[in-house]
Amino acid sequence: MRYMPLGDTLKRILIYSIAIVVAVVLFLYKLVMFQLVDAGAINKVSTQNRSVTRTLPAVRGQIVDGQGVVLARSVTKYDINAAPINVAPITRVVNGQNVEITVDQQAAEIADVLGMTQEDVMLKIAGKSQYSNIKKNVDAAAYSDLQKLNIPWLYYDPKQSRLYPNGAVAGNLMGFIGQDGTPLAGLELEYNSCLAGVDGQETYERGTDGIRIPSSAVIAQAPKNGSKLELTINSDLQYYSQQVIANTVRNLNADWGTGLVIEAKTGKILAAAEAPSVDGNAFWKYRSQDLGSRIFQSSFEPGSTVKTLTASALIDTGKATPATRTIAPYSLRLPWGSTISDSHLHGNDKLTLTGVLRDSSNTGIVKLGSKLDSQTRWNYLQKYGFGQKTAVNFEGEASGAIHEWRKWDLMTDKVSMFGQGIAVTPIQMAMVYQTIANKGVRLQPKLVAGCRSADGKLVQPPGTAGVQVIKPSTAQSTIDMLEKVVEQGGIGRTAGIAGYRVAGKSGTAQIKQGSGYGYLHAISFIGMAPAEDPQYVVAVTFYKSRNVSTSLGATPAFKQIMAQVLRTYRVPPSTGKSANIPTTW
Amino acid sequence: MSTLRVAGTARRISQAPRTNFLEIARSQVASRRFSAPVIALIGLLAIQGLSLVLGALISQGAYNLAHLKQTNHEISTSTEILASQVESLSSEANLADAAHGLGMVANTTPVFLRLADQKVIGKPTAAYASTGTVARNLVPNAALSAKTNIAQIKLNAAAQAAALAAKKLATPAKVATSFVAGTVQNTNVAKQVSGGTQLASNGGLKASPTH
Repeated sequence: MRYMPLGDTLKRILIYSIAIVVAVVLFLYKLVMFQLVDAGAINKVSTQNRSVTRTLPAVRGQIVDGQGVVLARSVTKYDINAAPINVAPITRVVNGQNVEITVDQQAAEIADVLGMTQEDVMLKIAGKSQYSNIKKNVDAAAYSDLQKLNIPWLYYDPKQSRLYPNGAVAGNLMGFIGQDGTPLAGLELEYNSCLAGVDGQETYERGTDGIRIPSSAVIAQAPKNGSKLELTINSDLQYYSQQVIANTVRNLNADWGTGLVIEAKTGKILAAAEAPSVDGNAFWKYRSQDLGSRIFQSSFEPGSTVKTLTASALIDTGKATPATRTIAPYSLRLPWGSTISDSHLHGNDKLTLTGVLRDSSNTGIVKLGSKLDSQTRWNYLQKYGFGQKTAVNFEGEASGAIHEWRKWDLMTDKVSMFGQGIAVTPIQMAMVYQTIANKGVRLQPKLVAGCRSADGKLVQPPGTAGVQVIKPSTAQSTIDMLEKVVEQGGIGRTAGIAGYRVAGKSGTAQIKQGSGYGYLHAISFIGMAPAEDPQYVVAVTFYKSRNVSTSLGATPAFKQIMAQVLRTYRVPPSTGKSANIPTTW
Repeated sequence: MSTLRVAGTARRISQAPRTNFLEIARSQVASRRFSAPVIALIGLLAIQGLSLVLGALISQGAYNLAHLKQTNHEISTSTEILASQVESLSSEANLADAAHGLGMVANTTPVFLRLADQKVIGKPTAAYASTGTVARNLVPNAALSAKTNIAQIKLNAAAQAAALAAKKLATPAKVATSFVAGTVQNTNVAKQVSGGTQLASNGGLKASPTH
């Protein structure tokens, strides 16, 4: 046996040892590099490859009426997209057999669900691109039907959308939301801070099969849903009022019409109807001038409904009583040569102030109203709220226009007594009658009851104290006079409701055209019921009525809406009688 | 060497019982030394195994979760579809149209009965289409996804009316039959009487002669 020299063995051991040590050192080096030095970067790349960040959308709050009926809510809608490059025939099992469905057939099926034509769909899916939108904002029913078709090259992109379940009911008030979720008009815009939530964000890791890796979810920020906006309106009454106003606008061939129902003792707006009305579900179909709310945004010369205001100022200052006499001619020649005439031909009528209102005599109110100086009358116009926005502060609300009394010319000084030379919004005019119905206290109209957060807390809009415009006794005398208008007036009588005592006043205002007035009118009727203890004020206005040029065109709508209000709120018929006030002498 | 051997023997003899004791003690220590790493290893393996099983279960849970989320999405979609249908059917526009289609008219002259003095307030008057209806729906609603099937309601009402008429016609024949089957009729009467007595004894009210 030949033994290896000891020196060789030691040498070999040394070589192997060095090799092993080098290998170990190399491994250790790589280990240290992987585990310690580069670990952060490697982990980062790895996490980036697996992690997904997505927005957790906050749900926009609902808009509800005074009874909790949902007027606007958020829903999920879907954009239907395709990858044209993947479009191909598919195989479907029909009656246990594999059947090939051609691209044409698939397109026909899609078109049928989406309400499109097959040609439209074929055009959208032509080409070799990775993306093509077939239809946007498809509802859940169509989405569900499409899914059942099981077409692999269709993709669905869910997104939040706004639904107005009752369509145009209160549509002009609520406004609408753009396709990108931006509020564009109305309460949606004004109360966006209440309705809009705050989107959250979530990051998690997922495997190659797209399934989330357990316990990897990291919610960076939870979404905070929007709050609920509660309105004062009654949606049933709102619908009925809109029906009446739309029907009347159609019958009168008018440009537009408004109808307001106000709770006299609280200032709550129970209905604010307009025609044309806007359906927020399809707002892009409407003319831009019809998209807002004319009740708050349009001002016009109100005409004779302002005579009530002048009469109340006369009584409040002690310059007249409901029985104060005057002789009202058909035409009144003013010292500077101008003439004021009544709407109908008559002789020198011996009327009381009540009779002046009953007959809506321009000459009569100017003769009696002249007992008050310009400043006093201007002060009353201001105290009644003219020239100022209401506390509703509706988006784009108009303040109307009353020029300072010193700037009134001689004619404006006179005609302002019967509603010319001043501009008011329908809501301002209705609130004059609310003041009279509420013992002379003008309240601010209330459209929004509050913003209710998820914890049930209701944040009400800042309230404003009522303003005592006229004395309670003046308010009562004015109501007594207005009751005679409905009891005895030629036009007023047509506003009467069987079984109820109603007080109100008509208005037939000429409309400015150039430097003068045109032949079309803004016709109104504003009243309250029951007159013995007024609970509700109804105000209707129709602008540029072409078929009826007097307030006779407005009273049927007032009557229908007021009757519905009395039915809705179960107001028992009146039992007493109107005050005994002379109208003539 | 021999000295050593003798000494060794002598030690072995003199310490024989202690040697056994020491051996036993040494073997216990050895078994302890052996079992600790084994137990640790087994524990480690058990923990690893358990974590593997748990990992697999959690992974399976993730798949279940994904599946349940999909189911949840499908149910949410169905709920959304049904909710919009209910909203459409209960919307003012649909109800007004349905009421109009069925010939309903609102009475514009309500009558009230005041309980305090039992006075009737208002004059009862029939409702007329000319005063109680406005017009067909003029308030647009693009979201109306379902409408009341008025034709179906009319058909159902007609069928019910026909069934009721047929029942009325059949009633005399039924009476004749019950006379023939006297026992059955008597039983029913007995039940009615006993029921009536019970009512009277309970509330002092007379039993209603009709059902």
